[in-house]
Amino acid sequence: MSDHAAALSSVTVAYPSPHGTVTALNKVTIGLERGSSTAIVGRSGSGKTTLISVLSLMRQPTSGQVFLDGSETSALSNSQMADLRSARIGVVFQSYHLDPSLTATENVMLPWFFRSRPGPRRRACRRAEQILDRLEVGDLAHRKPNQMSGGQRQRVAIGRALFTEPSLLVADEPTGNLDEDTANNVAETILSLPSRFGTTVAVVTHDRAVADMAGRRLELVRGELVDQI
Amino acid sequence: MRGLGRILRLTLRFNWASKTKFALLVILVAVGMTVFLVVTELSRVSTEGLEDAIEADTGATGSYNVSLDSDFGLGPAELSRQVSAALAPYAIRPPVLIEALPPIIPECPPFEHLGLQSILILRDGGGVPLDVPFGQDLPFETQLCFDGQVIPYDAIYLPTRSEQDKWGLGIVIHPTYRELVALSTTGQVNYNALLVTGQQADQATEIVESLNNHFREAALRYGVESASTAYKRLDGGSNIRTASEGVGIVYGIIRWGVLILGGLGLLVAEIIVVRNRTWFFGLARAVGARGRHIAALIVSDVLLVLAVGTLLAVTLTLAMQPTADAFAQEAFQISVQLLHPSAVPQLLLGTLLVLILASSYPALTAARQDPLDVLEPKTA
Repeated sequence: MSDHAAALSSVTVAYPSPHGTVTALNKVTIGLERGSSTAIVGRSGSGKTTLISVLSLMRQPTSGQVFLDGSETSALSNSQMADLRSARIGVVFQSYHLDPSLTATENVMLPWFFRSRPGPRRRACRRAEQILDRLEVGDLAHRKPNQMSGGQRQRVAIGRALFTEPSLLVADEPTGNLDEDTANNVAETILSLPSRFGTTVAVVTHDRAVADMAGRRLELVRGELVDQI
Repeated sequence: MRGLGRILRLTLRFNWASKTKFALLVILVAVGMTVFLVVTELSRVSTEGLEDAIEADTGATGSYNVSLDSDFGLGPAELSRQVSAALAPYAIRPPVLIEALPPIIPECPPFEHLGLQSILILRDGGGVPLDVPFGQDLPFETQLCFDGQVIPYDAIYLPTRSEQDKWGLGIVIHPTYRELVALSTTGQVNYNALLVTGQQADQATEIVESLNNHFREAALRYGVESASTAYKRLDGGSNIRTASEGVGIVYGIIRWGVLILGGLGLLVAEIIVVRNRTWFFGLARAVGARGRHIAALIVSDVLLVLAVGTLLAVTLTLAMQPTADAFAQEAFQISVQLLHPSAVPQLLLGTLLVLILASSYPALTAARQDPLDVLEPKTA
């Protein structure tokens, strides 16, 4: 597991529902190599989002182990998990989740507001602006989300995920709200991160075209990994 | 502290983006705090005025006139100091020693037709002549004459009815003229101590016992059995005192009620804020915020509204002060101070209470936000 940025070992996630226990993930084992890009595909309800939530340490599995940079995480407290999320994991959401009252720069540097050793604000601003430049939305640095297109918003959201220089970036349907051309551009941006930033990327997607751009593809069916290409 | 600065910066940005909400909440707080300050001052002025009137008419709460059997050869000034020391554990203000010289008939106008008159000399707890307005309302030619000696008008004070109830019947003269009167009379000089305990409960037994203990040796040496055996309770009007306390309680209910209502208004607003920003708190957790960061965001949001609202209320009351004072002077002949120093600690306490009331529940709710909530679809 040491050459993996993140790995799951026999991870099961089950939760109670009115109709009995639902198993969202069933003994899933995967490893994400450092600097690789992986697409996770599957139908709705196949467990893709649950997989992302476990990979990004937002959810503890019912059983199994989750490794991040070679360290097992199941024994960590909530605070330690929050620190790990802050330092090593970036998350991109389908709905962007940009704060409408903050500018693009401020949205990108959002993790700075909550870090335990944040460094000076000016340096954080400069870094956020550099990230926006590299994502080709540097001219939007002082605009608010309602003054941007969907693709531009998603690039800003990607910038926020990259702000802390994470070793792992997970994206949940990042192109789900975008038209085809914009979706391709955003997908290219995300899947080029391993070569440009050295970040390990895992993308959940419905879109076959996006999945084909990734270095590797995993398919989930009813919570089980059935295909690895 | 740096962490708090970053949280405050975020709070300022959020409120800047919701100026209408912020302005309305600030107005709510400012109105609540202004009403609180105005009612606090109304309460102070009316209850103090009522207390003064009750004290003037019925005596201060826990007033006693304790008779002393002798001066034990100490002389009036030293006796005052000794009595003051003996009564110190009970007194809320320095006792007054009243020396009543034997009755005497004045020899010249305007008092010569009045017959026997008691002459009173008053001293405070340090043996110093009590500061009464000698000569007040007396014509320039007024004088008291004894054995051809004259006491001028500015050494004479005629007590009011309520003062006579406390001090006893008689004419007050300045102690400078004591010897003149004493040499003109024969008979027993009486000494009384006027004591105010401030307590409704009767403490006469303890007071008399304290005097007797203090003067035991002096009394034995002087050949009297005890320092004191008689006392008279002077205060009354318990019904009107109770009514006065009731007025104070009503004012208290009004001002703290207004503050609690304002706090509840803020609480509702913050609950709505938490509901509307669920996704943001989830996002903040997802990017590494801890529960305390989220709680601090809510507390600082309430604190910001409270601080600006309270400052506005203070500015408003200071601006209203000249008009309010002029109105009160003209209508009720009283002076009001809307931002009275005694109201400042209450204002700070009220602000703290509203902060706790309005922020605790929303802060706890927001801090418990699950980062998974952010995975729910939301368009930004």
